[in-house]
Amino acid sequence: MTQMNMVQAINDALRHEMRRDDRVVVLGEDVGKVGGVFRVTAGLWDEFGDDRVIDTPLSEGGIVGTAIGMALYGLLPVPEIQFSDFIYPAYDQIVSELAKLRWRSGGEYPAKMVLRTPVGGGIRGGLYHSQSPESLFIHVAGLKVVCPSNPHDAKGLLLASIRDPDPVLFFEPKRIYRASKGEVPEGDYTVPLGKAAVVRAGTDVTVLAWGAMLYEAIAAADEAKKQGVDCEIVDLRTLWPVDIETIVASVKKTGRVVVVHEAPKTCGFGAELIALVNEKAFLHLEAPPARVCGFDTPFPYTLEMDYLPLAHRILPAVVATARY
Amino acid sequence: MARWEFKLPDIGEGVTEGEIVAWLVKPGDVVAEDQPMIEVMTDKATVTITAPKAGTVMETRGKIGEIVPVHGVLLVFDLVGAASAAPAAGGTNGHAVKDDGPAATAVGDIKETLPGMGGAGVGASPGSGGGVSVGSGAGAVQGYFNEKPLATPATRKLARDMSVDLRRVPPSGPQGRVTKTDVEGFTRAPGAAPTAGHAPTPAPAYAPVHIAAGPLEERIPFAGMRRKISQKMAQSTHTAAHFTFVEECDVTALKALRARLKGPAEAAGVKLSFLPFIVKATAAALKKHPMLNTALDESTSELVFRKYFHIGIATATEAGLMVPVVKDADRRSILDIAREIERLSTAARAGKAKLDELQGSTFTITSLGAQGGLFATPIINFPEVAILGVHQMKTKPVVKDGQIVIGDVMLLSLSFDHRIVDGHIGAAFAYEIIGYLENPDRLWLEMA
Amino acid sequence: MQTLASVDPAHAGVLSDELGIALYEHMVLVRAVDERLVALQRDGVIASHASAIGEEAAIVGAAAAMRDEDWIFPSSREFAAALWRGMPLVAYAHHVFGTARDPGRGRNAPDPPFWKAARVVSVSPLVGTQIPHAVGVAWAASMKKVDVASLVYFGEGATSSNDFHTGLNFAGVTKAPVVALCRNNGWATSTPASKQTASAGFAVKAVAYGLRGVRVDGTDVVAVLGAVRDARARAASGLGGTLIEAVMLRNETEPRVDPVLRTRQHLEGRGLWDAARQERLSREVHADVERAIAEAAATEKPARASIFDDVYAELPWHLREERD
Repeated sequence: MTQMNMVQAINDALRHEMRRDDRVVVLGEDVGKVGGVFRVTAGLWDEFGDDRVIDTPLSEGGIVGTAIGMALYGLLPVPEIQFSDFIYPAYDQIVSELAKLRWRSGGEYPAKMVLRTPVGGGIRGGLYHSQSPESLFIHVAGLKVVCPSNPHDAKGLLLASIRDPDPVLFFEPKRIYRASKGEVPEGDYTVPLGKAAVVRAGTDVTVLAWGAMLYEAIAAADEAKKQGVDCEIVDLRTLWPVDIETIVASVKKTGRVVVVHEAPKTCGFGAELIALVNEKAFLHLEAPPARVCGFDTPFPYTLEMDYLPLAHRILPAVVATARY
Repeated sequence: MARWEFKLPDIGEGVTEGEIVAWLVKPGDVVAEDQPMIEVMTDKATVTITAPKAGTVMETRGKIGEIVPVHGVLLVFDLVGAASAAPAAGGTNGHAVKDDGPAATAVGDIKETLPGMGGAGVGASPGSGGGVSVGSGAGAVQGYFNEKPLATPATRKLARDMSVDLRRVPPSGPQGRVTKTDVEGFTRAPGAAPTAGHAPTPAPAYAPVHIAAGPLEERIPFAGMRRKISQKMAQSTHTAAHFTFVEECDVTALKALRARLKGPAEAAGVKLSFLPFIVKATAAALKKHPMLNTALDESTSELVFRKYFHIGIATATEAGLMVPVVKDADRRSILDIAREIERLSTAARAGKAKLDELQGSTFTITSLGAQGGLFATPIINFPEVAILGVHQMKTKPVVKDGQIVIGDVMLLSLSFDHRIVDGHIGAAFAYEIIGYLENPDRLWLEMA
Repeated sequence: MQTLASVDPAHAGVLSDELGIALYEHMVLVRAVDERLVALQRDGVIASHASAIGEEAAIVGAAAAMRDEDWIFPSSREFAAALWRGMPLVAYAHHVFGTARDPGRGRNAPDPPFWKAARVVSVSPLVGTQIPHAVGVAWAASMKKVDVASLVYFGEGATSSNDFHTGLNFAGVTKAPVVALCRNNGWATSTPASKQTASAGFAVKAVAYGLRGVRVDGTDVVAVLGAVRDARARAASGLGGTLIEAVMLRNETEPRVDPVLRTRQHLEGRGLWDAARQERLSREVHADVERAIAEAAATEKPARASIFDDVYAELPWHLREERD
C-alpha cells in the first residue's frame, strides 16, 4: 500500500497496464514529453517511448478517429482529451463511430478504447475548463461512463476499464486530482465496473453522488446529522451502466433520495436516476426525489462557487427531503 | 462509547402506556440488532420489542408489572461504535510514482488540499467508509401490518392528513400496498386511532382497596393480562346497563343436521361443531335486528350502526380471556367459519394471534361448551351492545304436540345494554336466533 | 513548383493477361449487380443502393493493387472492392436486403458492406469519418513494424469534411502507410466539383499535409492499378501516404467514358477477349446475380431480440429489461 493522490494513482494504473499489456498505447496533446498538463502521464514517455506514448497534433477528432483505427487493428488505445470541454470536436467520432462499431458490424469490428478526460469545476477555469458532460455520453448506446472519487477507486476502475471489452469514457474530477489522497495497493487489482459503493450507511435519506461532489455530500451529511437527519451516501463510481440494485435497495430502505451533480440540472444524469427510482421504488417513497445540481447556465468564472452544488446547497435539500 | 436511550415507542391505538411483562435481556448483555429485548403488554396484545441497534445493555428501567408511559426510557445502551480507522502511515516506495509538483496547465488552479478532505477521505472498498452502521428506526413492534408500508405518495398524504398511521392499516391493494380506500375505511373501523387524544383508561370510581398484610398468605402481582381483563370487566359493568334474557332452544333438528354434515365436513378437513351454525344464525339475526350490531360513540353522542358483521368468539387461554374475531361472518360459509374459528383459537391459545385478529368485533358469542351450566349472565364485550352466551345441550323430556318426548335442549343467555337496546328488541333478536337454530333449513334463505 | 507527383513507370502500364481478364470479368459482374440493384431500388424492393456505375475501374483497380493483408475502408459505393477481395455475392445480397444472414444483422441501411475475412471494414455513411480510422490502422501497423497498409476511398465531396483534414494531417505527421483514393466523379450529390473547392483539383491538397498528391484517369484501370501500387510501395518503404485523385469526369462538357467498355477494348486489343466470351460471361453473371438476389429476397428478417445484441460485449441490465 502507498499513500497517493488521484493523479499518482492514475499514473500508476497506466504504467502498470502498459507494462502488463503491450497493446496499450497512450496518445493525446502534451501527454508525452511534458507528461500531461496535469502530470497524469508523467514519466510514461521516458519508460515506453514514442511508439507507445504519443504527442498528437491538436485535434480531438483526429485523436479519437485515429485511435479508433488503432483499436480496430488490435491495439488498446488510451487517448486523453485534455479538458472534457474540448471533447466536442471528437463527439462525432465517439457517438457515430466508436459507440456503434460493434453493433453495426454484428460484433466483427469492436472498437475498444478508454478515453480519459478531466471533468468538473471549482478550479477557476471558467466556461471551457469546468464542464461535466457525462449525460451527453450516457445517453448514447454502446458507451460506458466511469467517474472515480478517490485514488483507490481511480486506479482500480481504470484498470477495470482498460480490461473491459467496451469503449469507456473515464472522467477524472480535476478539482480533487491532488486533494484526494488515500491508500492505494501497489500491483494488480481492479474495482469492478457497474458497482456503486455505499460510503456511509444511514437510515433517513439516500444521497447519490460521484466525483468531487461526493465530498460535498459527505460534508452536508455531517451537518445534517446534527439536525437529526441520518444520511446514506452512495458513490456511484460507474455512471453507466449504473448499479441500479444498490441504488434501489438504498431508496427502499430510506424512502427518500437526493441526487447531487455538478452538471446542469435539465436532462442531467439526475433526471435519469430519479426516473429509475420512480420506476423501481415508487411505493417506497416517502418524499419526492430531489436534485441538487449546477444551474442551467454556462459555467461561470468568478462566481463558480455559487454555481457548484456545494454542501451549503445540498444540506437544505437533504433536510427538507428527510422531513417532508 | 455511544450512550443511547431506548424509549417505549408510540404504537398508536390510543395506547398511552404499557406494562412490562418480561425482560429478555439484562445489564451487561451484548445485544444484536433485531434481538428480542422486552415484552410489553398494551390494551389488546403483548408485544415483543426487538433491539433496533446492536450494542451492550447498560441499564434496564422498570420491573415486571410496572407501567411505563409511551416515550418512557426502557433501556440504556452502549452502541457498537465504528469511527473511521486512522489512515495507515504509508511511506513512499521505490516505485516511480512521484509527484512532479504543480500542473503545467495555464488554466485552472488545482489545490493540494481542500477543506473537508482529510487523509482518510473516502474509503476503498464499500462499507469501509467511516460512520456508524445504523439499523432501522424504532424497535420492531408487532401489531403493525407492515413496518414499512407500501403506498403511493397520494395515499401517504391522505394518511397524513387524516392522522392515520399507515403501518397499522390493513393493505388490500396490488403489490400489498395500502390504498386510499384502505386508509378511509380504517378511520371508520373500531380500534382506529381517534383523531383527538387517547381513550382514557377508566379509573376506579372509589378509593383502591387495601388488604392488610398478614401471615399465611402469598402475594403475586396482579398484573399482565389478568389486570387488563379486570379493567375491561369493570368498565363494561359500570357503564352498560346489563339486562340478561334467557330462553330455551330445541336443538333436535340442529343436532341431526350436524350429524349428517359431520362426514362431508371431515372430508373437507373440517371438524364441525355447533358453533359455526350459531355464528351464522347470529349474523343472519343481526341483519334483521341492526340495533344489536351498534356501538355508542360517547364523544360525539352518536349511535353507530355497523353494516358489517364481525363476530367475536370469546376464547379461554392460559394467558386469560381473549376474543378473536371472525370477520364478515355473514359472507362466509359454515365450513369457512369453522375453519376460521379453529385457526383463530389455535393462534390465540399459542399467543400468536395478531392484534388485528383480536379486535374489531361488532358482536360477541361466549360458548362455554360442556361445562357451560344451565344459563348465565354474560358480561358484554364493551363497547358492543350485546353478547350471546351459549350453554350446554341437554337431553331431557320435552312436550311436543301434547306428548312428552325426549328432546335436545340448549339454553341461550343474551345480555344486552339496556341504555341502547330495549327489552322487546332484545327479545325479538333472541327469538330470531332461536328460530334459525330450531329450523336450520331457514338458513338456506339467508345464504349470501 | 510541381505539386502533383507522377507514377513510377515500374508500376505503370503493367497488367498481366490473367489479371487483366480477372479485372474485366469482375467489372462486368459488378456492373450487372449495380444495374440490377438500381432497378430494384427504383421499384421500391430495396430501400437504398449506392451506385458506382462509371467508377468500376477506379474502385476495382485500386483494390486489386493492394495486398491481401492490407485493410480496405470503403465510403459508400465500393461494394465492388469487397466482392473483389472475396466477399461472396450472396452475402452482399443479404446485406442489401438486410436479412437475418446479413453480417451487419440488418442494422444499417445498405451500402457499403463490410467483410472481415477480406479486411473490408465497417464504415458509416457519414462523410469522411472513415479516413482517420484508415490512418489509425496504418499507423498502428507501422508502430508494430508490420507491413500492412490502408486503402481508404472517398468521393471528392469528402475533401471538404473535418475528418479529411484531420485524417490526412495525422497521416502526414505520422507517415502512416495510407493510400487515400479520392474518386472525383464531378459531383457530390448536387454540388459540382467546381463548387466543392477553390483548389486546382483535389490531389493538390496533399501538399498541405506533406503527402504525395497524384492525379490519374479514373476510367483507366491500368493507370489506377499502377498509381495505387506505386503509392503502396512507397508507403511500405516508410515514405508516407499518398492522395490519389481518380478523375472520372474531366469537365462538365465532355462525354463520360465507360470504364468497363474501355477495359474490354483494351483486352480485345491484346487479343484476350471476344464476343463469344462476352456472351458466355454475360449469361453466367446474370445467372449469378439472379440467384443471389432470389436467395436474399426469400430470407427472413433478423429476430427482434437481435436489436439488443452487440451494443455492448455483454448484455447489461437495462437492455435485458428492455428486451424482455
